Amino acid sequence: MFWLKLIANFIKILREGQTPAQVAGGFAFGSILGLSPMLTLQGVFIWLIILILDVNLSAVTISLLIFSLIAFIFDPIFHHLGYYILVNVDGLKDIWTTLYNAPIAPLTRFNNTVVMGSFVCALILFPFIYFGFKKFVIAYRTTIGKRIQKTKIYQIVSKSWIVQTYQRIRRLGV
Amino acid sequence: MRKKFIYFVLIPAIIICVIVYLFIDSWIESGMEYAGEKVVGAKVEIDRLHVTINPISIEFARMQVANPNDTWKNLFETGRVRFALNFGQLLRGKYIVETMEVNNLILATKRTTDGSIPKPKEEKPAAQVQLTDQAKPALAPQDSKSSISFDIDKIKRELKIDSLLNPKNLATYRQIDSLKKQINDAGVQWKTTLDEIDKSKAKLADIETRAKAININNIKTVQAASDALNNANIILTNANEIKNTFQTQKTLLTDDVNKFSESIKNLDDLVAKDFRNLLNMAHLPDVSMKGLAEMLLGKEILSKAYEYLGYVETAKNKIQNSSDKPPIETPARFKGQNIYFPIERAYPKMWIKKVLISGGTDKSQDPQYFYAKGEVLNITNNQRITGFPLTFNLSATKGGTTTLSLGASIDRRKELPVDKYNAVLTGLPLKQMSLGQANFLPATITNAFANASITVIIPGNKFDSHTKIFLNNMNLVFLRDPQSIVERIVRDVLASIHGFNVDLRMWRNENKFDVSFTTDLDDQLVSSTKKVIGDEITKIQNDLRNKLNAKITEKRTELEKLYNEKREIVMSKLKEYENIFNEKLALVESKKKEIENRIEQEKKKQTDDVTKKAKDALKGIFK
Repeated sequence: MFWLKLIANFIKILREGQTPAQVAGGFAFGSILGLSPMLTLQGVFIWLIILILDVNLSAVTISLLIFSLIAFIFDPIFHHLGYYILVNVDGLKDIWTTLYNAPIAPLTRFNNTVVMGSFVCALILFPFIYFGFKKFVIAYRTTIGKRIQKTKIYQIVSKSWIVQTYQRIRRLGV
Repeated sequence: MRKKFIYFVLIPAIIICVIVYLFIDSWIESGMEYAGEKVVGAKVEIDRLHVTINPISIEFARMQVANPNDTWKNLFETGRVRFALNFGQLLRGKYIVETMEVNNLILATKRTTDGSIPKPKEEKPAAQVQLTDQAKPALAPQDSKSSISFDIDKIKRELKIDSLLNPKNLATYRQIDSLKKQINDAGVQWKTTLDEIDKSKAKLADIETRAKAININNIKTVQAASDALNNANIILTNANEIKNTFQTQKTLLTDDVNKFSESIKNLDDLVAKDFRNLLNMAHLPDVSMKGLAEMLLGKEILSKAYEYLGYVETAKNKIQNSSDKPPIETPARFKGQNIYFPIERAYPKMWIKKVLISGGTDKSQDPQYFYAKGEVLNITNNQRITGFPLTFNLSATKGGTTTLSLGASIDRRKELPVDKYNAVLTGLPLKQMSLGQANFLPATITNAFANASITVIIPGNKFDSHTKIFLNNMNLVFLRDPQSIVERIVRDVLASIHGFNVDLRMWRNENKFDVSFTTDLDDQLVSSTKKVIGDEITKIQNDLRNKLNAKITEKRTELEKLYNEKREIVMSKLKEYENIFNEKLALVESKKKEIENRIEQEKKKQTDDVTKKAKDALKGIFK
């Protein structure tokens, strides 16, 4: 039920409620968390930012799940990219050496190829995801949402047993 | 504060902290056991591990490390172990331990449970040849020697010399055939070269004609003589060029011809090798009987040596050199590869500066185990940063009579890794040690005492180890009656001695692993054995050698005949050409000499004329 509620919240939030910037921000920050491996210092830092900035948490969670799957698929590419950045870019070696020997910084695990590769990718994708998703939310609220509601698939799904059951339970909860 | 922060962060964080506090001991215990098992390849068990936060330290009551080669025994077990981590460096993600205390280190204790773990598929690097792989055939020569028979009548009966002398078994035979083919092929090449030299004959004839065309009698003036000399010089230069070309071709041809002479001489070595090979195939014992003691003792000692070689190799492989540019790996998903960026005089990722080991009190010692004490210095993942090699010095005692001292230095500070080990063992009681082989004097040594010293040096891919073992106070129990003369002799010799020395050297240069095994038992056995069967064996060996030589000589004569014919043709032709060249060159040179003489004559004549005319003029003035 948690997942259904999460998806429902997400769809609801696409329609109304928080601003498109909050939803897109949640989605974009979720993408950083999803692409990067767990248990890094920057992961904790991103979570703090998410909570401070009051972005949409459902969007964060959905984005985290989607991008974790993407990260699994693209993991070898992240590894190679991270290796290239850490080993083959001579200009950056001094920075890595300083960070590696500084306190706290090694806890980010920046010297791990997958952490570095995925984090760099996530940072590059962040503005595109943010602005792209913001546009999508606005478009959804104005045009796409209505169009989807008119489609046959939506009609079938909304009248399906699962959705009906979920809505009944939800009403009971209220 | 927003509610979501409390629900999603604060409460989970508190729960996580509580869980971590409750379970951190068992997590670290499991983590250390897992890491240890990956290194050792057998079970590592840690009991009652406890982590303290201030200062950050770890303590555990006991650690058992199973022996991967005998999983019902431990490599070692410890009592209480305690170490503190440097907090400042921990924030930098580095594990630095100033001193680790290890109490009650006991070697080779028995286990109550099996210490094996399922072995993961280990991919060996294809390029690197493993020491134990190379050592295996060298340390197991007894398998072939075990089939050597000492029954003279049986040897004579079963020996089929004609079938042994099959060309398929003789490398010399094949080499001669190959050389014959090479000489025939080279003969064609030599002929082509000689034909090329032959073409120079026409040029020489032209030179001869041009030289003869210079007529000395027609030279009347100094100018004419000078022109003739220039002409002679040009002809001489041409002749010299042709001769130089010839000399080069001659040298190449002679070298090529002589190369085969060297190959033919080398056949003697090949014949000797063939003979040794035939002896092996015939299962004839070495007439010197030098291998007899090795046969008696080798099986047990060499198998032990192979076992310890495994430990040395493990240490060599597990402690790797650090690299400035690590090669890219293929890690599991989400694991990635860690790249290190150390700096000089900084801390490496992991460094245990000192491990102090105490062997426990005398009262609590079990007399069947070794209790060790000493220290291990500088366990690290990067010696180039610390600047120190890993060293350890341990001394162990067992039951108050047996002592073991073990020292090592494992140096990875430079590109070429250097490992050095030394061990001295004294007063080791050997309750039972097998001797001989199933088909040769099976016996058991009982109640002996052994002293041993071992030094091992492994610079890079080379390997050199010396082992000296002295066995004394021994009793022998023979498992059956002697079945041959040699067995009887060896038994008589052994029955009269109570100790012997064994020197075992194992070494590897480049890619060859070798073993040398010597013992003072050999001399005693050789003198006794040789008296009885040495002559017979020598006779059989000589017979085999004569027949081999006869077979090879026949084939070799054919080869030498072919080679000499070809060589004679080449050399005689070269001699002929050389004579022609020298003759023509001499002709031109003599012509040149004549012209030079003529020039001198003309010059003198003209000087005389001028002098005479001057004298006549002076006479006219003074009249």
